[in-house]
Amino acid sequence: MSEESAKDQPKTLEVTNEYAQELLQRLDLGMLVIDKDYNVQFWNRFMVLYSGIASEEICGKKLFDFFPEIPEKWFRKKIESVFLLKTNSFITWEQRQYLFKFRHSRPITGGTEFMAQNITIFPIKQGKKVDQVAISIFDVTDVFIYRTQLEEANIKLENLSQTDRLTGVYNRGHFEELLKNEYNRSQRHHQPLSLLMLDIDHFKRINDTKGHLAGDAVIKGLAQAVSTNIRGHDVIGRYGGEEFCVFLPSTGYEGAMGCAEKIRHIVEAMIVPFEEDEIRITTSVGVAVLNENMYSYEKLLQAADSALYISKNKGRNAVSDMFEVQAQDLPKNSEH
Amino acid sequence: MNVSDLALSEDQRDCLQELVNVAMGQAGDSLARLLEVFVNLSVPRIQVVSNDELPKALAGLLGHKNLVSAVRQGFHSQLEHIDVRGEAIVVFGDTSFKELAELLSYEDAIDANAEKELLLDVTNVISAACLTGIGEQLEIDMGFSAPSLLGQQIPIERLVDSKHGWQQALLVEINYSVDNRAFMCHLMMMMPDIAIQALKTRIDEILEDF
Repeated sequence: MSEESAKDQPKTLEVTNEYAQELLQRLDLGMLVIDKDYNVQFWNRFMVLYSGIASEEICGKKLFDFFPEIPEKWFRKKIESVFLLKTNSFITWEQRQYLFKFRHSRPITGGTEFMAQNITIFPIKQGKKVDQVAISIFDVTDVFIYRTQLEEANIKLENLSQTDRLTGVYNRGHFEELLKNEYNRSQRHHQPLSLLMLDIDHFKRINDTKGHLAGDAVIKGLAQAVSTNIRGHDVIGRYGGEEFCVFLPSTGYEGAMGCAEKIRHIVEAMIVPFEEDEIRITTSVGVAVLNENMYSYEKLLQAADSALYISKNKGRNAVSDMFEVQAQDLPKNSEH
Repeated sequence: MNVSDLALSEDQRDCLQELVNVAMGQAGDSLARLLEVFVNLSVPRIQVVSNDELPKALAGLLGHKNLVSAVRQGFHSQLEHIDVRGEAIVVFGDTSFKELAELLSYEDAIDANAEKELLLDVTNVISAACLTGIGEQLEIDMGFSAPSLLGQQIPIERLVDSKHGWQQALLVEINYSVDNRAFMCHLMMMMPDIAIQALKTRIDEILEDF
């Protein structure tokens, strides 16, 4: 045949029996055929290599005799449905990691012990009759490993996340981390450091009368008001439900009191729009400053918390400092 | 493509309804033999719905607003070089997994994984039986993808993300119940615009042969 005529007549490959055998054998997926009595009729090279069972050994014999780990009753129902309905049936790794307990091809880099498999069972139709079904096995161990890694990474990310979802400011964990660093630095360099603790007055009443979404709106409103009225190197974090903390590096008593008073004033004048409503709130603030007796950053938090309690006692919408606490000798960590 | 192009004429609808009815009869028979129980199938309800109406249509067909579990399975074929693709969604209400497990001869204890597998297995059996039947009636050879879980105990409006590129879908709904058992589920077969067009052409061919 000349080159010219070969071009004119694109030829379909003639698949001889031998050729088909070679294709099936070399396919990089497991392929077996069973009859209605679960006798194995065909067992390709993939199956031989992973199971260690030769084709001559298993063909003509019952599948269950070689793989006792296959739940027989369940598997029979699957196979019966294929014979009866003459349609495909599936087993995915997400539900059942494997049908055949094979070791996989990642013994070094794996992490799971057995091959994850996606399986399709399909009828071999000869006219209208189906006397055999074929089972194809895809090795999806890679997918299994990636999915597992992804899940692990997501958990780590969640732990590492630094911001509070509602307000966008730092969450308590990360805020405390930053405060701890700043505390250590201030102690080392004998620099002043102050801390404000503030919360929304009568927050429970807003939640109860206007609903939780209104509560969320005022929390967001407060976070935004404070964030926009502090200096670039001051740090705000959401400490609890309606409670926020701000630390002011290199700032002593005067500066901290000024900042606290400014925040109190701004919040008092602020209007939080919610649906058709306009909500007004006030805030109580406690101020603490670092001194030599504070041997940990937690002491600073405690002092600010106690000062906040004084503001609540004063009738709210007020600023108090930790020296007022010492004067009154109030118990620490009291309820607001 | 506008709405009137896709709407089925009365003849087309009658013909499709008849074909689907015949297919369901066969499917019910196969399921009964497989599960060794009598499976009741409702008369299929056929409608063309637009994208934004779909959640409402589904809620209407399901007849309640509770949480549901659902599994989807894709089917695909070619008709005169047109893609006939669609998805079958099987929706389970308050499912008794114990009854399902008995139906499918599960021996293992029903843990969370087994529950998922049960839903997938039931879906595959039910949708394959019906879709193959419909395919045979229409004389098209259908392929199926593996079923996958849409969600367990989710609200109905989360079943279908209606943002995806289609305006109209053909929706065939069938509900299943089993004698003497509380088990019940719905099969929703959906095909987007382009498939409806191909299907209508095939229905017209069948109508001409009569």
